[in-house]
Amino acid sequence: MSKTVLLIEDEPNIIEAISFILSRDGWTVATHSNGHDANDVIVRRKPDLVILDVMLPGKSGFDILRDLRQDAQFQDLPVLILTARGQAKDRELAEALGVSRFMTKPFSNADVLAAANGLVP
Amino acid sequence: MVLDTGSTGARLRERRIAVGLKQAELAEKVGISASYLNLIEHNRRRIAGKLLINLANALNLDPAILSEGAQSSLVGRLQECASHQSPQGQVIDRAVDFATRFPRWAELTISLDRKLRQMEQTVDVLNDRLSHDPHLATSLHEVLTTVTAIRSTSSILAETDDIAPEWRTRFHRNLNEDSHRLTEGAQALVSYLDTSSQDTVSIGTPWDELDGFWAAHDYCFDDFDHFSAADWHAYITAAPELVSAQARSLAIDFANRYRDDASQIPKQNLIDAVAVCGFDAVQLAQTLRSDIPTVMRRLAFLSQQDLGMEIGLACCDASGSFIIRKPVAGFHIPRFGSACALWPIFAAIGRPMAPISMVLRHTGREGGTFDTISYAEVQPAYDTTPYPMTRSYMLIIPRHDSDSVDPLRVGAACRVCARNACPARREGSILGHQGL
Repeated sequence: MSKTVLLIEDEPNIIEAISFILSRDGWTVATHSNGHDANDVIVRRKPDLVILDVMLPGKSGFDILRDLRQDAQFQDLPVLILTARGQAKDRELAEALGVSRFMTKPFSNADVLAAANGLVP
Repeated sequence: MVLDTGSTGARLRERRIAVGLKQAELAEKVGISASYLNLIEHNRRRIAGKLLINLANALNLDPAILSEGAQSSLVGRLQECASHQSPQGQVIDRAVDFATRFPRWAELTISLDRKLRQMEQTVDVLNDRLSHDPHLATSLHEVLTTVTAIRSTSSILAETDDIAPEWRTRFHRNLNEDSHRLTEGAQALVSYLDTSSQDTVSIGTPWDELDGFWAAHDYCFDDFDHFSAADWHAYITAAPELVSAQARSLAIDFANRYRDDASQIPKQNLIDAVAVCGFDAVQLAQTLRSDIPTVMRRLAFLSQQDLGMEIGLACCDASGSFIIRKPVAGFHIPRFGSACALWPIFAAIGRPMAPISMVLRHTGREGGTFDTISYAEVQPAYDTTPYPMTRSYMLIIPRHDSDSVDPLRVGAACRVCARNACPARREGSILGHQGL
């Protein structure tokens, strides 16, 4: 059974690129492009991994992560944040909220693939 | 606040402040009244002979220093530099020796201090922009996002040998789209960041353009007091500082308000009233039978020559965003981000229609002491707003006598404020004072 990932990202071309590389590696990829109901989608789909952007319409990735960790069933769900907001304070906030891995944009495809496989072996 | 260091009174005052004496204390030492000493320090009374000697002795100073010309001026400027770096009296005492023995090194020190202050002002402005400019943050985010998409997509095309034709076509299309988007985003960012050699604040947002328009006219528009609406429109359309349609629209709004204000308070009436009431906006409003915000705006956009001094004005809406930023030397008003929460302009929002008079001491390197009066007016609610809107004003008047008051110490913004243990501090300062 293949590993499942939910990619929460609002940039269509980034969605296509990441979906392509993960799919070729055997992942089952689902995508969602707004933050407003992202937590509901996570609850419904129960993916093995969430890849999360920060600057999303409706609700930020940080708020999504905060709400996710408050749900006992998702406290250990691997979450990889991919964001253009690469300042130290953003990384610190993400770590305080319980992110599993924090990566800044632009990223290399190989690094994203390695991070995903590292979080869900 | 830069003092005139070329006169006996100014040198006397500088020395008195440097050794930590109040006017009353020095006056008592030499047997004169504090008010007479104040007149001397502000060059309204000349002194010589015994009183000059007594004052010099009380200040542990050679009397010749008080009355000499160029060298005393050099000493005064050097002492001012030294007071910025090290307030200890001993260092300032040695300024006299240093200026006497090494006048050229003293000039170099003064020149370097001036450049340092200019650079610190530039840092203030740039830091304000980098930390808080929403337009810059959005533009950078757009560029980084587009670069990310291009990098990821091009890697796929370059590294995937067996990519299906339909995917290859799709990714080529994506690359094409993103490269156009990146071009536009980068050009907009460069244009926004492009600064003139004269001004560290670049023309970027429409509000920046309006600021530039005001600055180009030295915030003085009394030559336009008789402009009609059509005259203003033609002038604004041709103004080189107003590039965007939004900036011209803001300028038209300003012009309409200016015409109303000028009609309500003619220039000469205001000048005559100031001669009687000074810059007390409340008294001026009563005398001129107008309202306080109109008086403040008229004062702000009158020439320094007509007023006899430079006056600053800040105006913000209920969110704290500045609508008018007329600067005055020594009191920086940030364009982006939040200003010092201690400013009474913000307190006035919570107490509309009640003037707040306060003496402020600005902690910036160029900072001085200022009389301020703040007043928030409530604007009528419209059908589209659930409650009335508030607009707050703060008139900023340089004060040359800070001895008789206990001013409130304020900064420009937390990140560039040196004040320790401030109850209103929101974030640490790049100046190394972190007292949150």
